Amino acid sequence: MISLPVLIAVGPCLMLAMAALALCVVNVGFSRTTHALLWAAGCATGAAQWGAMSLQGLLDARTTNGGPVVDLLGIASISLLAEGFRVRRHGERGRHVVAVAAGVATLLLLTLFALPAQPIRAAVTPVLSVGLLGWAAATVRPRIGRMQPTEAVVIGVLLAVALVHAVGAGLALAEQMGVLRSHSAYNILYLLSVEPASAAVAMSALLIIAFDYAVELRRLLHTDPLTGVLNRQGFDHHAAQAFERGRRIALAIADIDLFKAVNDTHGHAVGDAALAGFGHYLAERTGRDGVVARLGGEEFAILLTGFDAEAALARVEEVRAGLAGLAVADVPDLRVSASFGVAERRPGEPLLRTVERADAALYRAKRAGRDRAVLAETAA
Amino acid sequence: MSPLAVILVALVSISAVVAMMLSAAWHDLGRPEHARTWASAFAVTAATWFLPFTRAMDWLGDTTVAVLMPGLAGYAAVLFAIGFRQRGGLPPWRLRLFGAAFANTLALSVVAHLWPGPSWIIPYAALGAGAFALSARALRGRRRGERAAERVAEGGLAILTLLHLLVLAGVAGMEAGLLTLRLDRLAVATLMGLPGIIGGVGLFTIILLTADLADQTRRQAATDMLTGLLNRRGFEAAARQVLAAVRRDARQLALVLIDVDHFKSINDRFGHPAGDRVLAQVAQRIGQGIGRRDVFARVGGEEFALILADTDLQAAACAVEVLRLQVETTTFDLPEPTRITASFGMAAVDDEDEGLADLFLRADRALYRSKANGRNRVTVAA
Repeated sequence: MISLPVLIAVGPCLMLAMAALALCVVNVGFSRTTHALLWAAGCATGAAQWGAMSLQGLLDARTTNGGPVVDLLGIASISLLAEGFRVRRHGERGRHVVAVAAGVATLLLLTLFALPAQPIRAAVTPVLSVGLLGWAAATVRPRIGRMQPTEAVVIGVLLAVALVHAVGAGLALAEQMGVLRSHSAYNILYLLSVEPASAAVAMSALLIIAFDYAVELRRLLHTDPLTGVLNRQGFDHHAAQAFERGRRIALAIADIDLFKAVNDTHGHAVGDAALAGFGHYLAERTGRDGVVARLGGEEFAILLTGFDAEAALARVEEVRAGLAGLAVADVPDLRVSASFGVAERRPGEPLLRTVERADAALYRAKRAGRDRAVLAETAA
Repeated sequence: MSPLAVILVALVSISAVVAMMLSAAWHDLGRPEHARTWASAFAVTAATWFLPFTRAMDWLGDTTVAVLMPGLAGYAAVLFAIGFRQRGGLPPWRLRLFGAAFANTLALSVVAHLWPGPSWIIPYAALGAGAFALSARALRGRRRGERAAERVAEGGLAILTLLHLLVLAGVAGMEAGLLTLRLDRLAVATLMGLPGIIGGVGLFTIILLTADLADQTRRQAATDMLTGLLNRRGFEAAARQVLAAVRRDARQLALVLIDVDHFKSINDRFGHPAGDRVLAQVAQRIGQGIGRRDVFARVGGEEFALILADTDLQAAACAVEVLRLQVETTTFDLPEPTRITASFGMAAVDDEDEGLADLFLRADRALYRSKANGRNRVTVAA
């Protein structure tokens, strides 16, 4: 029968080499991102680590503890993976993590060669790994909104692997201090966890790339390309979400006054720029109070959450008044005004009905001379 | 700690993790049916490799486990094939494939009872080879998504098919007395490779999901949702490519801008949804009248752009005149009969080294003249 150290080292080596290859395919094929490259490098380094481990195992079947080269490769691998997660979240600014990891690795190298028999040696790698993995897991948390299952699974996997390392560190220390029989529990944990852990981390990286694509795809499907605000689909999606949460919702339908004249006088290009400027202005002024969508043509909607009818009217009036001094397109004497119809959603009312009431109010605003906000009648 | 236990734990936990990941992927990546099918394949695989633990506890007899394991593995292989067929948009053949897996279980128990020795594995090896070959074919059958990822998956599936065939050939050779193999060594080698193989399969299923999404995202970013044509971004990218090719080969090219006349009044009279239907119909009508190599896009509200490749200006003008007539004679899906027309402005690439933006500007000016001269006409830029 084959010896244990070889057995446990060959599995993760192959697994990580495959993962590195897979991530390279992803990189060359379609996702030219820095974090995918870092993950590929991390997996390749990990494969090298276990390859080195396996070679040592073949030479001396009694050791399962790798020695300085293996430790260093291990730390480098986990640092690269963690840095990949950081770059994915925060962009490429500031490479301090890699720098820190390199510093720690140098320190470790010195420690290992200077103090080969110290208990630190067995514990340093796992302790560093726990920190890096826990921190990588923290970068996966969603910035806004609810956590999705994919994020939860990836965080779970990273934390589980971190936990294995933490227990490993504890066991290693206990063994060094003579509390545990030498290399028994530590080894068993290592034997059982190493291959699944490397597979899981590598697959998490791939899964999160897929997840990012899904998010981007939804953004594309929900965004109006001209103005950058939500489109009809995105509006319906957001409204449905707000309805689900049972928040108080008010809706304003906005329509640029005499927009046809803008198009006819200045041409389509200026008309488009005016639409984009108007949408941008609405989104900026609405801020965190709600979302802005372009429903079609020059018609926009503002969905205000946590507002009743009067508060919404006051808020919309503010937005409308701000339009007076705004140059929406880069044309010096072009000013636009807009009319607004505001309605608060009544309990149990379908979205379409609220839109209709707001539309009716908008119609009254137009009839009354434009450039004003009008509240929908409360009686239907 | 026996090496066998290490491998078994790895097999169960890797399969379980992949099953979990694919379930999450199904939920978050637009609910592709095949992700769920693959997730169940991995769940079955996890169950398969959990069985030996029950043998250790003496819940089941040796023979039962020996039949159950390849039996379950057969179901996993079949689920894979179903997933690949779903992904390729083919009929999943659920009944046929589950039937094959069931037949595999029956055959396994018959063979295990009648012929002691390695031949017991033959039904499974045959089913596995068939299922993976079928998966590879489904991948080849209808190409979609990213080429590189599909090639990796195809290679992986080919290796899996080959491995099953090798087992088949090996066992058959031993039964026929042509081969003598050290079974214990082979078993160890197989077991050692298995976590890697299962992990590898997990990796390439996730890559395929990623690649499909990447492709969809790229196409979506270039597509106008209402008409299904290219949008402005997609048009510019495509136009630049065509323009570069035309310059290189000193060929001719015409850019046509199209604007639906009085579109605003259609919206005002019949509402936005009706206006959207009109745009979609105009897009469809013009799309039918152009060649496959021409680039056609919706570049603004009611504005379309068309690149006619390899045509001189005169021929292009004739073709565009036909398009104008086609729009004029279309019966639109509106509450009352309404005559809808469009104005056209076109420009050809000059000898001068002009960019896309300049070409666009000249065509736009021509379009403006069409509008000023009474609409429903074609104007060629000077």
